[in-house]
Amino acid sequence: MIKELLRNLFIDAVLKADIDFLRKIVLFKGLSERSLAKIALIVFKKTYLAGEKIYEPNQDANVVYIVKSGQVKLNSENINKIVDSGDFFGEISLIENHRHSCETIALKDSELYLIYRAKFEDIAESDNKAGLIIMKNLASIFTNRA
Amino acid sequence: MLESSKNRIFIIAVLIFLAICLFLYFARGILAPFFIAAFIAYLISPLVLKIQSYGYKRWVGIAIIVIIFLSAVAAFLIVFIPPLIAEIEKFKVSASDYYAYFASYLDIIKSKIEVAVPAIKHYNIADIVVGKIHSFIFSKAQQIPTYIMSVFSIFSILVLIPMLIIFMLFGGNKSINKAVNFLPSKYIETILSVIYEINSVLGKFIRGQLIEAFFVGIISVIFLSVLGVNFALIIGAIAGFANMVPCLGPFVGLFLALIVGIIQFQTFMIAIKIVVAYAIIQFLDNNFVQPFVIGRSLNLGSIATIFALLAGGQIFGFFGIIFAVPVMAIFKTTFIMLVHKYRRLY
Repeated sequence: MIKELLRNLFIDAVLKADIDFLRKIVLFKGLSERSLAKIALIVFKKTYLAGEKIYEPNQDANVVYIVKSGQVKLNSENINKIVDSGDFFGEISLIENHRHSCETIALKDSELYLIYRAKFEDIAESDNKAGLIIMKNLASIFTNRA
Repeated sequence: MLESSKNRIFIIAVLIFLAICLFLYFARGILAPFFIAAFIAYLISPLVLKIQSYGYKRWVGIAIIVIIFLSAVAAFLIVFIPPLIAEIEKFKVSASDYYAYFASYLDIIKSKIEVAVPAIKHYNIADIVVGKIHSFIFSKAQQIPTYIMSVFSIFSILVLIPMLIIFMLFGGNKSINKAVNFLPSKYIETILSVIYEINSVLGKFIRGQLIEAFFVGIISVIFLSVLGVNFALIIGAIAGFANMVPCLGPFVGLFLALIVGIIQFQTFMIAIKIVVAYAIIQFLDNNFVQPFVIGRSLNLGSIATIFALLAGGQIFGFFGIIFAVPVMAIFKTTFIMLVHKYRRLY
């Protein structure tokens, strides 16, 4: 009882939930609890209304989007994909000087977690292990796709 | 939402921002405690984030860091305030001696110049200069402690500033997150990069400045005490503070030490020693402290820097001088980023 009370007082439940959510993302597979917490602390949470445009083709890619809830449609000549909760898009942003290749529209009201590249790089700089794991995951995602 | 209405919202946001700037300009008299609180909040927020990354709530991190920070400040004040007050008392007593010495010195110079250029006698220039210095030492200089106390009243030091620090640490992240949620998605990636750049410029600047000021102040006190110069603590404190002002700041401590040293020892040997000491301090600061704390410099030209300093001082007074350079750097990075984006789009 008291233990429960102290836990509620000191431990950040929202952060814990975010960590558990991020752990299931393929991009962050194999990261330690601590590294996940650091990432959870730099996400911006943004809600999009159904039909709202998220980004356009040829726009500078600076942000990785993770779908917390809702549904998003990626649309271009060679891509036609629907992204659901627990998946992510715009991962090209993790590599510098690239642009988004497709148009992205929220199909339902969606909550997205936005990770800005430079902030992510700050983490990779201080936590090399996490940076390496994420880059490996990213490489294998790109290889499987090709 | 329609594209045109989004653009309208963006324009309105810019107008609101400009209105806020104007408002801040008119309310500049009350900004000092806010500036100081923001300064300190910036300094300690990465440490709070570090504690949070272990899974604790934000208030736990804030409580731990604020308690450590405040007790460190208190310990510092308890150690340094009594000798500093003693020095100020001593200065008040010996100010008239310094003035007498100065006046006699000026008299000698005056008679020499009057022999060389007889016309100058007519205008009483030396008398005017002596009169100015007299009024400075006996009115302005003694008002400085009162001035400092009026800016930082006991209420603002003990209650307002710590409260503001805590509120800023609590609210800062949340309000940025809320703002991000409101911003039009078309501009979100650009705005996030602007926020990040501003954050990193400000953060680096503030942490760097405080660490540097601290370093220069402490080393100045040590060197001046070793040389036996009077008022080492006062000069060191002023030198540390002044060091936050780029280009001009480092000379303030040097000149003060030179004036006090020459009058005290009546030789020019001490001047050489003081110059060497300050050269060593600046060498250490530029080569070991600055690269370590600031990392990437703010990359502003010296003319731009001096212009920003003077303009800041003109508009906002003392705090304008301290914050002129980072504000300038923020404008520069934002401008460059927007220009890059514009050129890529078209």
